[in-house]
This record gives sequence, structure tokens and C-alpha cells, in this order.
Amino acid sequence: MQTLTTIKSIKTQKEDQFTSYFGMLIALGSFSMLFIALLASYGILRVRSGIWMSNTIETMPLTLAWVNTIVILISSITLFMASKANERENKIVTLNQIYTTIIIGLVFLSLQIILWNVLINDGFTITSHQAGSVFYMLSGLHGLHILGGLISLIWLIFKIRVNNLILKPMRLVSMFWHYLTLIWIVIFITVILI
Amino acid sequence: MNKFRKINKFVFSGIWFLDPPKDISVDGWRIDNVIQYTDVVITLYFGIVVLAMLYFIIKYRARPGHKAVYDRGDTKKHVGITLGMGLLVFLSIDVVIEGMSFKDLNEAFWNFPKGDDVVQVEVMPQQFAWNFRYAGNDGTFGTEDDLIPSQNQMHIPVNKPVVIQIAPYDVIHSFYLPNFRIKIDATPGMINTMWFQATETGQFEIACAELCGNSHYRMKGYLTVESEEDYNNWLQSLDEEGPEDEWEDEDDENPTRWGWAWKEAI
Amino acid sequence: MNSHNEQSFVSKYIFSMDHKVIGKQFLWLGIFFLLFGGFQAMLIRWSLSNTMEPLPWWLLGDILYQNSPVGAGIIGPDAYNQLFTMHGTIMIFWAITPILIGAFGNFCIPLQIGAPDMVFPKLNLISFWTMFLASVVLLMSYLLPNGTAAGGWTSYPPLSTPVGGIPGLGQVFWILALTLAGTSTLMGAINYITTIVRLRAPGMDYFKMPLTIWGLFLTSILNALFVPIIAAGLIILLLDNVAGTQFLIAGGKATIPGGDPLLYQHVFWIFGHPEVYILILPAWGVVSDLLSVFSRKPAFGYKVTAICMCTITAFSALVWGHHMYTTGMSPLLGKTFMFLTLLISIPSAIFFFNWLGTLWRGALQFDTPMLFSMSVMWVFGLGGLTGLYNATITSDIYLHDTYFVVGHFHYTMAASVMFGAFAAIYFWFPKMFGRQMNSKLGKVHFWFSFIPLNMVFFNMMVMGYAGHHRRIFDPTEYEFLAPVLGLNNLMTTFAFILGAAQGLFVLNFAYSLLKGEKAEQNPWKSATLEWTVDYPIPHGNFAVVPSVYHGPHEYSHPNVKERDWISQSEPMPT
Repeated sequence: MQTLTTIKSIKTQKEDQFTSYFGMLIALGSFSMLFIALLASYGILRVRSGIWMSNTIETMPLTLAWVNTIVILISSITLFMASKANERENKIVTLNQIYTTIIIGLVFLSLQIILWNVLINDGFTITSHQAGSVFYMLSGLHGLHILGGLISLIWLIFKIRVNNLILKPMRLVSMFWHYLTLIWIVIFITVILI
Repeated sequence: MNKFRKINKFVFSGIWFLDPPKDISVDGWRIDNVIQYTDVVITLYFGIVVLAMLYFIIKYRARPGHKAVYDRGDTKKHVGITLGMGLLVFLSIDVVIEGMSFKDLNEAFWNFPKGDDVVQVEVMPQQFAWNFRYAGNDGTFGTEDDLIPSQNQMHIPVNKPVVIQIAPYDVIHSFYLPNFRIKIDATPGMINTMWFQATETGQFEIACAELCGNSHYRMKGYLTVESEEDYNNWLQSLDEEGPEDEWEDEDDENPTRWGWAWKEAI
Repeated sequence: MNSHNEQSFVSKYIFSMDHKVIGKQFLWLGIFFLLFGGFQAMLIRWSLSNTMEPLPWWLLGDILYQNSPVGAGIIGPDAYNQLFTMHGTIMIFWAITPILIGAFGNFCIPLQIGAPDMVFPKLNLISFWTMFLASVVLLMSYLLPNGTAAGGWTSYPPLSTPVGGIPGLGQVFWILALTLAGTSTLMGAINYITTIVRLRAPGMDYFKMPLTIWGLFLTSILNALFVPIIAAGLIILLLDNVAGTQFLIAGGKATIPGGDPLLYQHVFWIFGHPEVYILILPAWGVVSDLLSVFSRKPAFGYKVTAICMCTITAFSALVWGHHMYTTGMSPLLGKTFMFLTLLISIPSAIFFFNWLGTLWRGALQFDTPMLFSMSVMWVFGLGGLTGLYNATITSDIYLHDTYFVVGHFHYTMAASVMFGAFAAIYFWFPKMFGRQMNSKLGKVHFWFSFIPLNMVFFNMMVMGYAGHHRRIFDPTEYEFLAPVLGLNNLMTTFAFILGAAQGLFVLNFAYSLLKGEKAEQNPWKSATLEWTVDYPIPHGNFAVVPSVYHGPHEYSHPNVKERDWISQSEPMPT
């Protein structure tokens, strides 16, 4: 009796990888549809409301948001370096870069919470105006997904320690993490900056 | 105007064998026409399909000695025929009713009447009643001489165009006049406009056509269509005795302080 | 991957990663909710014809609604609103989606394209158990003190927010359950699309796939694109319900300016319109294939049908405004939506004519799956044609939010999709369970479903034409509805017959499962790949990867002597 493994061995490892990559692309496409719908809702609400973040919040939280944007960008860089080290089969560097990414990710989340606290103290809450509702909704959802990303990074650590060559999981987790960085940049520009 | 209805009744004794409510509106015939044209053509096409299916069921049923003809239906001829039939359906039904509808919208439903003769009414549905407001002698809404009848009572003069603007107090409702064949949604935050004109006097019902809560089913209003004289007398009586617009007194259940400046751009 | 040689009961039947087992799990879930939703329909019909009267014993009047504020065993206005809300929600997301997409998608896709399993088996497993969790959350809302959601399956705000005044957490549970269900569907869509794109057997080009697969493929694309959009709507609705935001609240009761209830309607229907195509595309695919099998000739104009289905899929994203004609949208927008909506008639009519072409000059065998497939032609013909009245703004001004719309969508959803699902169940039962369902009972089930269904829903459209508006607990409130009341009672009687007939189906299904006649490998002499393996189909499906030589409908081919069919994996004799 043929098992799944035998039949799958007809495909090369490269094809197998492409399949997961393809599936992940569809997933990211779906997430993008969600994000586009939320952004469009934001757009419509913003047109109807006079008060917005860029003309409301103080300098301090704005600076914090800038810092956080840089932080998450750095996390993507470290993860990218982890991918490269993984391709060169350098286990130690790969693991170190992933640890770093995780720590930077935690820094990002902490700074987000601090940002939220500063804003709430300034009177900018989820129910103070539509701008607040939109900001906390988007940044909250994003933060939850970062948490998910962190969990998958930890899973990746365990996976690497067991196996040596793990192109596929590394790629999938990276795709997700970089996507989250991209989403944050879009949120930052469209909701906070403009 | 009702020639399609006559054909329909004669040939098919009507597909929709229950009559709609009596139409007392000036433009309801347009709706009836579109419906009846659609009735005739779809009965024709569906009838042909059913006959074809019955014929196929009998002629092509599997039986000893009968074989199916291997035909993929992908020759130019066959594809051409099916494409052609699809286009025929489109041209004979869709294009026609679309044309009729565009015309109706341009000539009637979105062609708001203007001028001094037009009666303006503001409508504010709430859970679960209809509030109406008339402009009063100064012709402006939102002023102290506005007239507010008892809840759920709307009066209009016969043979005069009536434009309503509608905005709800709480949730989405829909102002539905069965005897005029029309309805318009009332969405919080929006002011919608609709117009109609009655051709007969009498008392008719107003219904809510968008789920608005547990008493949505009995959110009924009464539309009284009367002669101009009676209508003016009624307005007069409101002026003298009707419930006053208490600008100070207001509670959540029965908002009395409402009314907006009439939206001009339509 | 594991060798699957030693599997415990739990890993084989409960937490299985085999698409066939997961497909069956979705089938059980779907049939359960179909019966649940159907029972709710019986309650609705009872209430409409016997308003404020206690439920009879055979509608569980001694058990249900004992704490009803209007009297023990009596459905009051609040309960009625909850009933039709949950009926719609359950039928769409917990009955049709799991049966057609969850069960038949899972079962048929790998088998019909010659693959060993889905491409992401673990994701498949998670998809089912997420749906299970969604079901638990949904059913839990029945235990809440104030009952379930009651704002209609469309849940328009502000009614579905605290401003609307419906007490309790029913709406919140509804949102959570639907979010979980959507997540399950999304996972399934990713799996189905990737599997179809990547795992087709050698020789299985896109235009050699069965039309069932085309239907499931296009459905999955729509799911992947549009389920996230309703997720967005659900997120902001949830926040309005629990976090005090007012994204969707405006007017007299709003305290945060700028909210927009219409935003929800747009977001909802941008999903909602593709959703109705999501529900019917698999049914169209199944019917196209089955008409071919039981006419013993190829599906007429296969390529054209596939292309029409693709066109309709693409257009479905552009027409959502036709659900909102009475909201006061700008004339230009309204006309645009009307124009685009009416355009969909063309591909729909074309592939309908292809169905007729399949029957033409065939050798028609009237087995139960064929009866149901042909009935889909009837009900979809009627349903699709009556959509024209709603697509045209003039007629829609009158018919919007009346029973006409309810009749129309029950014809296209309940009738077409459900009969398609029944056709699929009767057809694939031998392959799923190794036994045959009783043919006589199947035909009785068919006739006792087809005729009553028409009597109920055609008359619903008649009622709508007479002006009867929707979601009305007690039609006797209005004088203009008096002429309609007699018809109301007639419909209720036929609805009860329709309901009882489904009991026949359940009996047949259950009995055949346990004691049915054992089926041969290919009882329908069908050409698609799933019939080349024998029940029980092993994990991994095919001992040798099949090679595909021609299309899926090579029936009555002149080169094939002595029989009127040839399998896709058999080379064509010269």
C-alpha cells in the first residue's frame, strides 16, 4: 500500500516548497482583503469626521509611534538575516538572529502598550472619537497578530533545534512576519501620520 | 397603461394570482408595467424550457435500443447557438426592462417636483411609531410654527405632489406605502428624499419595511388622502390644538425636539 | 508524514487528517444543522399561521418556549425575530456551506483530480474543528437568558448594536460564531485552491477537470477574497457591541459623531453577493456533471460552461448594490449596479442552455440523483428569472423587503442548492459509504420535496407581489394583507409536508448506512476518477498515480464499443 510520503516523493522538494509558498500567498491575499476593507472603512469614517489623529495627538506619542515603526523594521531585518544564515546552513547564526527578532518583537509590543497608555492619558481613547476607535482597532488587531507571529517564531526555534535544514517553515514564518511589518507601516502612514 | 396587465390576465390568468394593493398613485403604473412585461417574457421562456424538458424526458428516455448521440457541443455552430440564445434572452428581457426602468427613474422617481404647489413633509420613524412634521405658515422647517400631528397620522391633499424627507431617530426603518408601490429606507445619519402623488382620497396604511426590533411587525401608520380644503382644515386644526413641539421637554422614548432644515439639493 | 499503519480510533476518526474522513465530519455537521434549521422553519410557519397559539406536541410545544413571556409554548414577537435570524444564519453558514463545500469539497477534490489527499492535511483538520467550535458557540447562544441574536441574518446596525434595544449577548455570540465559521471556510479555501492548482494528476489539464471541481475552485476563490471582508464588518460590529465604539451608529442616539450604519451594509453586501454565488457554484458544477452522467453523453459546451462560471464569479464582485436600491443611493450608482447585475443574465442563460443541450439526444436515466439534478434546472430557472424583478430598480422599489425576495432567494438558495446537495449525496453515497441508498425511497423523497417546495415558495412570491413585507410576526395587523392570509395557511401545510419528507431522507440515509445493499465499485458507470477506486478507499487514495487521457464526460463515444462510457484514466481506443 502506497503511503502519502511515497506518492509525495514524486514531487521535488522545491516543488513542495512552492506549494506551501503558494498557499501562504493566498492566505496573505485574504488577510489583505480584510485589511483593505478595514482601511476603506477608516477612509469613509474619516471623511465624515473632522477630528483625526494627525491633528489631535501630541508630539510625544507621535515620536513613540515613529520609534516603534523603526523597531519593527529592524525586526524584519534581523529575521531576513536569519533567513540568509539558514540558507547558508549556519545554525548558530540563524538561531541567534531569530532570538533577536523575538526580543525586538517583544520590545515592539511593549512600546505599543506604552503608546496606548500615553494616548489614553491624553484623553484619546477608543470611545473618545472615531479616530480613536479606528486607531485602537487597527493597532490592537495588528498587535494580536504580532503575538501570533512571536509564537510562530518560538515554534521555529524548536523546529530548527530538531532539524538542520528547514527551508519551508523559515520561509512561511518570514513571509508572515514581514507582512506584519508592511501592515504596520501602512497603518502608521495612513492613520497616524497623514 | 395597463395593457400588459390585460394580456397577462387573459392569457395566463396572472402568474401572481393575488392582486397587489389598490394603486392610487400617479406613477404606480410604471412599476406594474415593468413587472407585467417581465411576467410575459419569463413565462414565455420558462414555458419553452419546461416544454423542451418534457419533450426530452419522453423522447430521450433510456430504453432498449436507444442510444445517446456523442456530441460535445463545442463546435462553432453549437457554441454560436447557445451564445446567440443567451444574447436573445438578454436583449428581449434585460435590455427592455432596463430601458423601461431608466426611463421611469429619470421621468418619475428621481424627477422631484418643484414649485409652490408641492407639499413638504418631514418623517421621523422611531421604534415603533411614525412622526410627521409640516412646515407651518412660514414654510420653513425647524421653526416654532411647525405642525406636528399625533403619531402615525399623516394627511396629504389629493392630486398634489408630496415630497417627504425622512431620517429616523434610532435604527434603520423603511417608509412603505403599499398603495403607492414605493418605499424608502430611513438610515440614521442620512436624510433621504422621496416623492409621490395620490389620485384618490381615502385612508391607507403605512408600513415599516425594514426590521427595526420586536414591534417592527406592528409599526403601522395611517395615510389620509383628502381634498385640498379638508387638508387645509386639518392643518389649521393642528395649529390650534395639536401637540406642541416641546423644545425643553424631551425624553428618550418620545423625542419631540426634532426636525431639520429642508435639504435643498436633491 | 506518518505511515498511517497503526492509527488509534481517535486519530483515524476524530482527529483525522484524511480528506475523506474530514469530508464526512462536515457532512454530519451539515446534516445536523440542516435538520435544525429546517425545524426552525416549521416553527416559523406555525407561528405565521397560528399566531400566538401554543405549539402542538409534534412541534415540541411541551418542551420549547416554556418560559415565553407571552405564555408557555407560545412563540412571541421576540422569539419570532430570533427564529428567522437563526434560521437564515444556520441554513447558509452551518448547513449549505458544510455540506456542499466542506463535505463534497473535501471528498471530491482530491479524488476527482487524482491526488492522494489535500495539500495541507493539518490545515484541513484544524478547519473542521474550528467549524465545530463555531457550532458550539452558536448553540451556546440558545442558553443565554435573553436568547439568541434577533436582528435578521443580515444584522444591520444600529439594530444589532446596543442602540437597537435588543437585550442580551445573543448578537455578540452570533458575531463570534460567524467569525469562527468564516475562519474555517478561509482555511478550507486555501487548501482547495492550492490542491487544485498543484496536485492535479498528470494529464488533468484545467479543461479536463470535472465541472464539480470548477464549481468548487471558483467558490474557493470567492471565499478567499470575500470572507475576510465580512470579517472586517464583524470586527467593527463586535466593537460597537462590546467596546462602546460607534463605527456604525449615527443619528439621535449617537454620542460619537461620524458613525455610518450604511458602511456596514456596503461591507456586508460586498461579501453577501459573492456569498450567494459561493453557495451555488458547487451546485452548478455538480448538476452539470450529473446531467452528463445520467444522459450518457458529454456535458454540452463544457468549455463554454466553465468560462461562463468564471465570468459570473468575476462579475459577482461588482453588483452588491442591488441589495441596497432603496437606501437612497445616488441615481448614477443605482443605474450602474442595475446595468452590471443584468449583465450576469448572459452567462447564466448560456450555461443553462448548455444544460438543456446535455439532455438533448441523450439516453436519460431517471435515478434519484438525476431527478434532483433536473429539478435544479426547474428551480434555478424560476429562481434566476425572478431575480430579474429584483435587479430592475423600478420593480425592486415595490418588491424590496417583501416576501417576493424571500421566495426568490429560497428558490435559488434553498431549492437549487439543496436539491444540488441531495443529488450529490445520493450520487456519492456509494463511494463514501460502500452501500446504495434505497432508490424507491429516494424517489418518494424527491417528489414529496419537489412539489411541496414549489407550493411554498412560489406562493411566497405571490404574497410578495401582493405587497406582504418581510419579517412580520403577525400579518393580521395590516388590512392590506387580509387577502393573503388564506394563502399563508396553504403554504404552512405544504411546508409541513416538505419537512416531513426530509424525515424520509434521514431514515433512508441512516438505514442505508447501516444495512443498505452493498454497492459495486462504479454503480453509475461514471467516468470520473473517484469511481476507479473501491470502497473502502485507502489513505492516499490511488495505489498508482492515475494518468488522465481525456475529459470527464466521454460517454457514448463512438470509439468505445460494448459500453457507453470510458474512465478518464483509460486511454481512448483508436
